[in-house]
Amino acid sequence: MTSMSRKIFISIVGSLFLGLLLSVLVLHQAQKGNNTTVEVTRKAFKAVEYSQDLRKNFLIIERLDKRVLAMSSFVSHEEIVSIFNPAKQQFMKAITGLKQNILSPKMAHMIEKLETAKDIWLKDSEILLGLKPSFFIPTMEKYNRSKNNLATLINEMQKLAANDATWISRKAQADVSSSLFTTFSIAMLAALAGSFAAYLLARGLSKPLVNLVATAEQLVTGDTSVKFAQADRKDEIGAVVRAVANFRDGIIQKLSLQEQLAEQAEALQEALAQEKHLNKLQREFVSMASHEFRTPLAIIDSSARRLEKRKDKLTPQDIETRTDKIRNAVSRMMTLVESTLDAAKADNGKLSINPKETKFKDLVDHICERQNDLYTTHNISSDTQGLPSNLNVDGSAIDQVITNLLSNAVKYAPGCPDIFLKGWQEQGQVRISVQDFGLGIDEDDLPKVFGRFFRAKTSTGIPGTGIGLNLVNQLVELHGGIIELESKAGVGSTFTLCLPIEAAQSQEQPLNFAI
Amino acid sequence: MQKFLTGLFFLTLFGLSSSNLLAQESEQLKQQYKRPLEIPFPVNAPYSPQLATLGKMLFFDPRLSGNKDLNCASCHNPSFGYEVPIKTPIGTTKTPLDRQAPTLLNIAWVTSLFWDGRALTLEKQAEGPITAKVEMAGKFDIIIERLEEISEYEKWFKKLFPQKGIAKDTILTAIATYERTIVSEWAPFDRWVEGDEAALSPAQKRGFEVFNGPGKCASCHTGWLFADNQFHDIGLSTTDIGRGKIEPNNVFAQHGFKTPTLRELTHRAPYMHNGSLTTLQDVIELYNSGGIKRISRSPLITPLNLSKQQKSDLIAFLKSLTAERNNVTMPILPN
Repeated sequence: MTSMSRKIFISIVGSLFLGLLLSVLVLHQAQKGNNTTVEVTRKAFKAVEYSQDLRKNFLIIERLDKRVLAMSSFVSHEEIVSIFNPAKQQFMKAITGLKQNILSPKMAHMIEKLETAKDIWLKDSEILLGLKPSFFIPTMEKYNRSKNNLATLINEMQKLAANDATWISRKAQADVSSSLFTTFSIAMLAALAGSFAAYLLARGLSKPLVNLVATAEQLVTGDTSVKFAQADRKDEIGAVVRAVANFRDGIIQKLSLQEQLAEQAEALQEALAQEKHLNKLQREFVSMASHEFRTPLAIIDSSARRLEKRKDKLTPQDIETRTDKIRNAVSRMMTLVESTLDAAKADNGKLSINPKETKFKDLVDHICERQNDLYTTHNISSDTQGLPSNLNVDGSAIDQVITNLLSNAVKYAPGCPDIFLKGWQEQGQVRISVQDFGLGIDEDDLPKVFGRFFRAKTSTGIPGTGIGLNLVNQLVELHGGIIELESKAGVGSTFTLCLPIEAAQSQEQPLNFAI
Repeated sequence: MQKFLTGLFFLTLFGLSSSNLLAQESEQLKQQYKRPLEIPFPVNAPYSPQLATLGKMLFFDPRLSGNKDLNCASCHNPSFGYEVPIKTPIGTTKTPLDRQAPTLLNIAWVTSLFWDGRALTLEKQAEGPITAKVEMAGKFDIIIERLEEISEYEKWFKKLFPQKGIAKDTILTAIATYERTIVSEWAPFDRWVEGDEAALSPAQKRGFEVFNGPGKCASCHTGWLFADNQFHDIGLSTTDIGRGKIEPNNVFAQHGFKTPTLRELTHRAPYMHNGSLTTLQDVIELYNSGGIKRISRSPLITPLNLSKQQKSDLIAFLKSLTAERNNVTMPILPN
């Protein structure tokens, strides 16, 4: 048997013994209380019963006496005997019964008085009933006196017995309660003692275990600096402690390995994400580019064929028209290539601005003029009066931004020729808004408009790369500004370029692509 | 002056001791009036409840009279102290008798029966009125015949007198036995004697003093019975010589009548052996005057000169001899 099992065995045997002892005590106490109560209650009950018997039989004799002494009709000697004798017997028996079940000293005294009164009355009654021969029969007064005296005593006795019985049974109940209390106290004491012993035992067992659990929990959180107490114990607990210590050593090794692995995995994960991103961009670009390049190429192709087919009948006018078409298509392709290059620049994080003191109002006026000449379908109304004449910006970047916004306004407002450009200053900002009355943008699409390669639903059928606005946004952000957009599908859009009047920082900023 | 003071001192001393003496005497006097608690029965006629019941039935049975018109209770009516409320009772011949019916109250203690005491036992007395021609006019052979026809009487006589059955003496014994059970109830006076001071009013208590003192009543009306079982001429105007008939040679027996008990007096008017006095006041006035002065008159009878107060106190006292209640049940007679 191991040391621990021995302890448990001893504690079980101890508990059993204690429980047994307690049960015996409780049983003994309960039995004692019960016996007393039963005895006392029985006695009280008997006393009451006998006092009632006493009265009952007294009344039987009294009624007989009355009947006989009225002398209104014959009552035979035999009848008198047959009524009187059993009643007297019961009467005497009741007195004996009372004497055997005396409940109080007062009652004992009362019985003494009752016995004397009974003797006098019985003698009177027996003479008057002719049961005892005498030459001197009691007068009615004497008889009534002895009778009334006895009747009073009997009534008192009955009351006294009832009272005493009530009192005694109450007292017995109280005794039982107090004995139960004693029992309960013993039980409580024993339980306390048992609990204390159990506590001592449990503490011996559980404290090292609890410590061990705390240690293990520390281990789980990764704290391997834990210390082990009682590792030198000879019992099972010592063994458990040593086992946990070994486990800790294992965990320390494992943790360092895990760290290395995690670092490697993280690096790999990053590389993979970068790769995936680039891959996606590439795929998107290829699909976009192939589509965008196809249209001008088809124009070039058809114009070239027509030239070839009708080379004899062509007027110089015709040739000019065809070559114009080809040149336009080539120019569109050029634009595409340029923007693609810009995007590639951005991809490589090499987009940068070079802000310097620029004649800002003149720049914007120039762009408007230039673009107005360019578009035959739309008319740009510009109001640049509120713009500062000088601003520290990258002129070419701003040219690119405004040109882009204007060309978008034209592109996405077919049949709506009015385009408004307005410039003003507000809250330390220079603002230029470009408003069209064209297709507008769905509310759902608004937040995504500046995303790379994003095309709004309303833009279906209109050629575009989804690069322009993204690039514009980046260029503006490089200036420390923002682009505000107000748009409603079917109503039109207003793009507002907001630039800080303070000099934009001349430095390269890392680009954060929102894919 | 000194003599006067000394005299006053001794007078006071005497007064104190005399009043003390009086109280003691009064207490002793009371003891003389203590009631007996037992009724004496003669050896030859012991009590039994059945015999007394039989006697009571016969007492109330008119079949004992010749014409079945009277019973013993006709003249000894329990409601009037076992007397009649008229001057003298009227018998079967419808003529008034010479003397009032003497009460049967406490008759067991009376040693000579009738006003003149001519009978020495109740049995003997009972025979008189039953057979007297002016009274019940019964004849015993006829009475016995009548009773024998009544099975319950026959049965009970047989039971109580196995040898004699229904006979003259057994009938008389039964009646006498019943009569001995007739005892006056406890009156306020008895309770006073027993120690209940509140039982009597101050007037009644004063009356008791008059009764025993200046009234001289207690000379003949002695003890709880208020009778001395003797015969006295009280000076009442009468031609009846009374006891003189029995004792012709005794001077004092002339016009002498048996002292009657004073118990239940208020129910028993008119008074005297001939019912000649209707109220107690009349009776007191007679004694106060001393009555007719003649040779036979008892030496105990003298003019009393009682004051008006004494007389009224005396009457108040006499009323205390009547019990508050009197429970007498009538028997159901067999047929």
